[in-house]
Amino acid sequence: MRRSKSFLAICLITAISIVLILAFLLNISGLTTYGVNELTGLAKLFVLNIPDPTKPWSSHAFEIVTAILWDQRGLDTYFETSVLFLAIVASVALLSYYGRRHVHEGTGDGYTTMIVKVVTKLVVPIIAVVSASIAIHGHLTPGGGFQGGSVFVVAPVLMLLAYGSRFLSSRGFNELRLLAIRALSVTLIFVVGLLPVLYLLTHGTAYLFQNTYKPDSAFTYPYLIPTPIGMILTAGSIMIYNILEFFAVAAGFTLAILLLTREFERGDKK
Amino acid sequence: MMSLDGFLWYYIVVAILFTITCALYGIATKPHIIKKLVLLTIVSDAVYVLLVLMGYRIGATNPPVVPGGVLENPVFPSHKTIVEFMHKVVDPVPQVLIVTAIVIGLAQFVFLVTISMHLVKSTGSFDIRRIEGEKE
Repeated sequence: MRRSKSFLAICLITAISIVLILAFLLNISGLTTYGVNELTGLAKLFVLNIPDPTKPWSSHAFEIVTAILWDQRGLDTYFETSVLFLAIVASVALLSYYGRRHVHEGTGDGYTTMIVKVVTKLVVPIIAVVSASIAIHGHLTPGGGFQGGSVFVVAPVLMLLAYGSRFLSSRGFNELRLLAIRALSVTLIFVVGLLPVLYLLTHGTAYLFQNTYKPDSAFTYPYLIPTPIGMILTAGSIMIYNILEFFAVAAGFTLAILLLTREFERGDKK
Repeated sequence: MMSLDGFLWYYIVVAILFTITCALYGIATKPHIIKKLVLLTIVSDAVYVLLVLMGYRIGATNPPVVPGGVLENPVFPSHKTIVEFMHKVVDPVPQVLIVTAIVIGLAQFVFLVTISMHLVKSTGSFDIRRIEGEKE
C-alpha cells in the first residue's frame, strides 16, 4: 500500500511552513542575521566576570562554558542531569523487565576478527586516559564532565563489539555496579550543591549551588589548593562537579549500551 | 557585494533549514521505524548546529576559553587582557545550552531505541502501519 499523494503533500507543506516560521522568528530577533559583532549583554557579563578574580562574581575558572554550566546555572544543570538519569533508568527498567523472563547471559564471543580485538586492546586505555584528562581539565581547557563521559563511553562500545557482553561483565562492568556508580554520582553532586545551605543554617548567608565567595556571602569552596608541587587550581566546586558528572555520564551510558547489546545478542540466538 | 564570510553564513543557515525541512518531512511520511529514529537525530543535530552558529561574531577567533589556563600555579588574567579577549570571542551562552542538550538527547534516544526494539520484537515488523494495525 502506498501513501496517498495528498497525504505526502500535506506533510511537505507542514514541514516547510514549520521551518519558515522558525526562520522568520529567528530573523526578527536578529539571531540568524549576518553582521553582529558585539556579544550580548549577558555574554559580556559572563566573559568579564568569570576569569577575573578581582570581580565579586568571579568563578576563578579559565573555561567560561563549564563555569556557566556549573556555577551560574548550577541548579539548572543538576536537574538536566536528573533528566538524563531518569531516561537511563527508564530504559534499564524496560530492558530488565523483559530480561527477567528469559534468563540469559551474553554469547561472549563478539563478532569480529583478531585484528579488531588487538586494536581494541591498544586503543581502549588511550580513550580512558584522554576522557579522564578532558574531565579533570574541564575548568582550564575545552571540555568537562559531560564531554569526558561521552568520550569514555566509546571504550565499552568497542569492547562490546570486539569481545561481546560477557567479557565486559566479567571485567567488573556489571549492571548493579554501574547503576550504583550512576546513582552515587548524582547524589554526591546534589550533596556538594547542598553544603552551602548547611553553612546558611549555621553561620550566615549562602546560596544553593554556590561556588566561591560572593559580595554578601563568605562561604567558598577552596579554589587554589596548596600542594607539594605548587598551587593546584580547582575553581571551587567546578572540578568536583566535573569529575562526578564524568562518572555519572560514563556509567549511565555504559549501562544502557551493555543492556541493549545483551538484548540484541539474545535476539540472535532465536 | 556580499563578502565571502556573509555568503558562507547565509549558505550554512539555508542548508541547515533545508536539512530540518527534509528530516521533518521524512519523519511524517516514512513508515520504517528505524528511518524515523535516524531522521529524528538529524533534526536534533541540525538544530544544535544552528544554535551554535548563532554564537558567531564577526572577527571572532577564539573559543570561549581564556588562554593560559594551567593546573599548577595558574596566573589569572588581568582586567585589560580580559577586555581584549572579549572582543575576539564567540558567544558562550548557546554553547552552554547545547552541551547538556546533546547528552540528554542521547539519553532520550537510548530510551526511544529501547521502546522501538520491544515493539519490533513483539510485532515482528519494522513498519509502523503494521504495528498500529492499520494494514494486514
